[in-house]
Amino acid sequence: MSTGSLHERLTLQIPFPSPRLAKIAADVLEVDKDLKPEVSRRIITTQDSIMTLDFHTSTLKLLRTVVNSSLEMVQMVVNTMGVFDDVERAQQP
Amino acid sequence: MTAMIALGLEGSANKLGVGLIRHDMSTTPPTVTILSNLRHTYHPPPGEGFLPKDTALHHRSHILELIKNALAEANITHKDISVICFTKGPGMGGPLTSVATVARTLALMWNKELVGVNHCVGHIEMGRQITGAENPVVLYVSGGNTQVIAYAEKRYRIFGEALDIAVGNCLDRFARVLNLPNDPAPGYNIEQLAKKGTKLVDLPYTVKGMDVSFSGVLSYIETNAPALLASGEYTEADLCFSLQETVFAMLVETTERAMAHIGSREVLIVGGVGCNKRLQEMMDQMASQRDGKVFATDERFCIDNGIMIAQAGILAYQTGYTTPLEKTWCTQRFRTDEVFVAWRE
Repeated sequence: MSTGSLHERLTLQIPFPSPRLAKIAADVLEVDKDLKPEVSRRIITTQDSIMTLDFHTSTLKLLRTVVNSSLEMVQMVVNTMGVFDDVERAQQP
Repeated sequence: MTAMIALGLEGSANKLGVGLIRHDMSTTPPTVTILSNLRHTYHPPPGEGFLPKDTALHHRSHILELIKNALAEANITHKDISVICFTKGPGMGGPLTSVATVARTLALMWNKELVGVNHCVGHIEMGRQITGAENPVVLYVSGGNTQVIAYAEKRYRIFGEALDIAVGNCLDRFARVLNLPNDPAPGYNIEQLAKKGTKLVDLPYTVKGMDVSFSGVLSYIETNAPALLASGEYTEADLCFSLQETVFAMLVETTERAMAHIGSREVLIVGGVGCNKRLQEMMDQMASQRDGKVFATDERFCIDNGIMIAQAGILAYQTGYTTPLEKTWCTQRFRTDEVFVAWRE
């Protein structure tokens, strides 16, 4: 589905401690599909340790809403990793 | 494997629950042990109800600490966990997704399977486990749900339900009219006040076959409460008493109808409103007349909790059921009979 008609755009690049954690975050967020893809779309990709969120919406208000709610979930994922991940910690010297 | 441990995460309404349950498969039937069952509740100020955004924020703020404490109380590490269970629905979208997000993250970090659980089935399975009721008619009553349920051929069938709002929602919204505190729960405070009531106000009573309706009685009492109180004839306690007597009688009637239809002699009451002692008493009076018995649990289990999610989840997991990651989205509507109850005969 093309996003050509959704003129409001925002891109967020969120760094993670490792590609593993970036991928986990992306996989977790990807489960929740766009509620109204015809007016608001979120595309999630990863590159090394960075997760990129591309938002395309028809209005600024929708952009604000989807970015805010996405960041709330990103924050939840990051905090969860901070408390409970021991793989990265084990690999630290 | 002789022992399985499930982590259960619940957050469909304003109660956030984390539970750890252990099933020891070396005995027949398996020995079930509750390792920890913790809850943190979001209480809005008196006169207000809980809104999705604030509720979701509450859950996100408390869930990690609650999980840490649950693991500590159970004296286990994540390595001991066999499966992660979470509420898929029904309930409020934002709160559900906030909790599911944590479940998914933990599952991927710790390399565990996920099981999405139906909230209503969670209540039923915990009720069965705690009380040992064999094959009861289940009355599931809470702020968000009101259903009369009976098990038949691998499904929990809905025999009757509230057509508009749940009985708990009716009670909670009347508590707002009286400005009762929401701590520990508006329904609890109505129950305490009702104990001092003596006069019965004639309120609309709406049973439609197997179903019940509460929006009429709520709108009647919301509209007329000021005048009734101002007249000096009735106190707030009388109004609470009258509302309880009316809505509970409706529930007892439809439960009895289901019992008669199925030929059952057991009633299991689950859900937050199930804590109400007056409801239990009224149900008991009806059941005794039919040579029957009422089963109920205490507030640890009838109010929303994580352990019921772990219990229903682990039962499904033991039949080979898991929820693939891409299907771990949440849904506000999730009918009780959508679940295939593979773990029962």
